[in-house]
Amino acid sequence: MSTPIIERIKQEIAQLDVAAVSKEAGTVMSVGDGIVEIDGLNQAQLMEMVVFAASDGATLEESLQAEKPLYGLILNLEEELVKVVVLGEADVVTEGMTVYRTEQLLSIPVSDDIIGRVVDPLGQPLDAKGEIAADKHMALERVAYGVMDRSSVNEPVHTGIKAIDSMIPIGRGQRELIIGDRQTGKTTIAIDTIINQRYEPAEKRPLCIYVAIGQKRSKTANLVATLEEAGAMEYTTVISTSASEASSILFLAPFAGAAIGEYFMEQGKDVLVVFDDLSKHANAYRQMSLLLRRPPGREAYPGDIFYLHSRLLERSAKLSKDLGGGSITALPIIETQEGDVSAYIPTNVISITDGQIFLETDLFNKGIRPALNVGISVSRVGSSAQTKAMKKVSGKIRLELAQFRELEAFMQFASDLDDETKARIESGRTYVELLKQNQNDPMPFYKQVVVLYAANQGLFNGAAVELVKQVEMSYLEYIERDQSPILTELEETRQISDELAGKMDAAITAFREAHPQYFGQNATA
Amino acid sequence: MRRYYTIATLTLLQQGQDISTVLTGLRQAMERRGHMYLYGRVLKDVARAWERYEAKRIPTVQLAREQDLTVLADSIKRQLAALKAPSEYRVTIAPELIGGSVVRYDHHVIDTSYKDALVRLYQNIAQTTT
Repeated sequence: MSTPIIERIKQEIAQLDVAAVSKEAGTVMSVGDGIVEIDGLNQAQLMEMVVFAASDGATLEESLQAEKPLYGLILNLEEELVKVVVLGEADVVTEGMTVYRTEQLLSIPVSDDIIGRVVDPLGQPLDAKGEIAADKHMALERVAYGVMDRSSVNEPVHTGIKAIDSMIPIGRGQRELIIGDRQTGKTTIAIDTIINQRYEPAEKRPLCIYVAIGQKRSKTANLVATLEEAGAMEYTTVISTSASEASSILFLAPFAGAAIGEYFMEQGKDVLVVFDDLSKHANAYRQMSLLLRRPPGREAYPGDIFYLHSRLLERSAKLSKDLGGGSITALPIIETQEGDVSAYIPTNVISITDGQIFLETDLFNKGIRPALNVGISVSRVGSSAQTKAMKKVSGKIRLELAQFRELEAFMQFASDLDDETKARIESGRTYVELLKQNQNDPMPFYKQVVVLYAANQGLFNGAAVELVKQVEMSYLEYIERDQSPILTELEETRQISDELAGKMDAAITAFREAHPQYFGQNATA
Repeated sequence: MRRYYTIATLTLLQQGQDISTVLTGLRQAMERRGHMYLYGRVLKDVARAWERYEAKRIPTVQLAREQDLTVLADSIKRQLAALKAPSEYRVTIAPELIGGSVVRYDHHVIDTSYKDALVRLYQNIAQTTT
């Protein structure tokens, strides 16, 4: 009697290759801490995958216990031995076990189905939503695109965070580092950026990849839930490696993210990749290198720790039109210790990236969130990655904040200052308050432009600093309710015409007249 | 140091010297230098290295049953030729193979056992139907 199962098995038997094929094999000499020393494999390549014959000496029943073969990755080619890191449970590897070459470099199976999924660095699904059918296998290690294959960065990636989009704009194809101490909001900025992409038109929306490197599983689970709630998982892939996994898996995670990104970039799409965080990645690589007996350098990191991150981040690019015009924007995250940005790994990554966003604990504790220090944060791409509308409104903010920072020290002597200085301080405090934003509440760029334009034109004049957020909310509600064509025009044209400026000026005047309670000396909530 | 003792012992054995003489000489040399704490490990390394050396020199054929030797003689001969191995070989019996043979010579393996085929079949089905 024929059943689907029997038919399937017959199909597999027909396809099964039983030809006598010679395979190059090695023998396990020692195994410990996830590192296996193998004798043989004389023709093996670096970064080649090998498969352990875990079924050697075992009965058929015992061999069938393991559904999937156990793989390893060749990382050291030495005179008499090959050293391999096990990509899985090393417990089953025993001395004398046979190891075969696969003659394939490490790759990850990718297809459009990987969007919306949570996977490990080898492409295995972790979200119990079924297997992912592979369209292509992308090598984890690849040479980055050359200079002539790239074009300049000129399209914005809107983070939805006013302080960043106005003063530290990020472009598609740029690498912008997010750096700060623990619990300063680094991951929040990255997640808000991912969530904010929902406001982009579907055909131009960047696909997002979040690479969790050595994070707590609870944190990653909460993060996925947040993205699902915001509807962001429709265009996001999460690569998850937890703190309890082997350092080899943590080492591979960001490369898997880059490989998936390149799959979509080569289709002409834009991709945003977040590496959270590369400090843990460096630690994992250090651990692995020490176990492989590679000579330790400064702070016990291996000598090629810079190359590790530079070759990863160089794969972010904006491709030329001939190659489809796709891009990978990278947001690497680095955790500093006590604000020390001159440490080894932070300085390495700062020198690689095209700018950095500094987050400070002091600002965070003062309630300035996001805790950006705009004075020392920079985007080397700059206004090339801004819409014309944002460019127009952001110039004044930077100047105001710069002047405010200079005058901050005099704030304690407020009663002894001249009126102009007091006005500048007040204006600076207003902008600082305006740039505060709630977690997981990114603002689309057209609303940002409306608010910032209004601030520049004096909407908040006379309003107490404590009321700034309320005035902002109220003004946005008024614009959405009564002046929605302003938002539509900004969203479509991305610039402020004279006519639109006139409409916005009129809206500001109308709002101030309609809400006198916010302004003047007797202003109330 | 351990490595040098191993290489020296192995070289003498490969030159055809008597095993008892070599081991006596090794022990005396290590006693003289105060390295007897390494003696056990050196012996283990030598044994392991000699196995590898033998494996390279003499092919090994694993069969599920003794009687398979007659049935698979031609197939084994072809596989040894493919591996450029000498025609003389060692036979070991491994019932877990179920059938077929595994021929090993100098870090190359030709596995045509029924067990390997069944395990691969199972892994293919398991991966595509999960």
